[in-house]
Amino acid sequence: MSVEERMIKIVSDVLGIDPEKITLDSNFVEDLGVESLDTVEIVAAAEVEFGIDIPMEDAEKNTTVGKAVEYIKNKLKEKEA
Amino acid sequence: MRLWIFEDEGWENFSPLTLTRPVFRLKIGFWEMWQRSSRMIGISPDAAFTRSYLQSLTAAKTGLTANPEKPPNEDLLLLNGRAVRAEASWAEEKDVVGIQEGQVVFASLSQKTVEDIWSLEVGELISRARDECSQVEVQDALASYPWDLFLRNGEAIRGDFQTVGKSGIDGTLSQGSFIVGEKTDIYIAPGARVDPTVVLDATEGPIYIDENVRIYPHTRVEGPSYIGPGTLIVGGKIREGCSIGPVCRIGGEVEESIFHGYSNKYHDGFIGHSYVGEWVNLGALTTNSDLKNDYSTVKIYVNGRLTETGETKVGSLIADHVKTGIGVLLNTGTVVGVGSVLMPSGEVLPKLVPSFVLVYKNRILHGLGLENTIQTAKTVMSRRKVVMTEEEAEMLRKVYQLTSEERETLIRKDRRKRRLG
Repeated sequence: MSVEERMIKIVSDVLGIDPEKITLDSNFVEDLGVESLDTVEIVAAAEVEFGIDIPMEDAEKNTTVGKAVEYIKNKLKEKEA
Repeated sequence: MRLWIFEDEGWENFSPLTLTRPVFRLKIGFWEMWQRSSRMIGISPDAAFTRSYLQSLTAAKTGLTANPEKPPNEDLLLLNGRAVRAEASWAEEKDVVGIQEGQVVFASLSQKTVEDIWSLEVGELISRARDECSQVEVQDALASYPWDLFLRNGEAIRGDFQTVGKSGIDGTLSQGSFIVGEKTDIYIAPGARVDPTVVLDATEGPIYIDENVRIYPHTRVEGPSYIGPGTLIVGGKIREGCSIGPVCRIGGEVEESIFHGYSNKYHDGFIGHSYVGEWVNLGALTTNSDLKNDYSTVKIYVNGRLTETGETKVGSLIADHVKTGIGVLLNTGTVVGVGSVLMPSGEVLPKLVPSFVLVYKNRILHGLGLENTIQTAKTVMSRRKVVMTEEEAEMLRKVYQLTSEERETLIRKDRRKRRLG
């Protein structure tokens, strides 16, 4: 599975939303109704899934699923380097 | 004769409570330890030695010169900040070091000796004093662990009540409230108000209610207890051996515990045999265990290592700026680090919670981050009309750095556990 698919699955699992309704343009707060503890859950699940650390200050800047995917891809590149 | 307080390496055993303050600023009885021991000596201290990152805050909070750079032009009594008992006679000795189980309790030095052995590094100064002076054995003077504070608190309150020497009603004891025991074992300070139906039970020890305290109806306070200035007791049971305040909001049941100040436990729930730092908020029904079901002795993390207390009743150590959600359950001997947030899971939470994490669904997570925690702390403090200074914010940032290794280790360990699970 690609990073995009894995991230959408995490968001879908945490929020209980059909994955088909989640796109890279989905805004966590405005479109998906994410609250602070949902953010914590998504971040925690992503940290486990991708084996990276995601400081909350960074997570808050990633307002859409697409931005989160880009952030994770960069972190994975840094990890490999 | 001058009196200076020093902090030795023993502060580490009191972590995380001492990550944000010198060990001598922990409380027992009515006061912080340095204030209490200097009263026993009968000399007002004017300087203290502490860790460098706490230097300016210590000076600001205590009015003492922190980490003095020159020896005094007088005889000097250096007193260990962990002293819970001190004697005026120590100041009369010359060039004598008091030792308890290999640790220096005091060093009473002539002016000449201080000048001869002077060092800017207090550990070195104490070590030289040990080498140069005669030694006497001292018994039962130092607190070695945090539980020494709350387990000896009742005895300390009895002593402090005698030291202050006040009794009677200078505030308001409402009609319909009850005193059980001797009225001379109770003091209600000016501006304090005890509402109808409150029971003050001084049969087992004195009760000191300081200025501007309000005790709301349906509260029972057992002595020995000390309620600090500006604190509200909003109903419930304040059992024996409690020191609370200043400016706390306390309800529910509390037993043999110290609430350092500016902390809230507004609702029902039990806290026993515990030390609660500053700016802590315990959500409704937050409860700690202080006794194991098999009545065996409690083990607790001291400086990262699980340590046998030898005591059957030990509750929690909760550092500054901790927040708990409703219904949080704390295991016997739980340690919670600075600025952490605990959410309920329906089961007891981990016994060691590092600083600046979120415990959610019983998992240890990075949480909301350092700057968000500082921002929340500022908001909390402003509600009590206290402004967090930049020095305090910097101190929290330093504590974040100092606790980074422990935090990352425990988060990774927890993550590994989940992957395997």
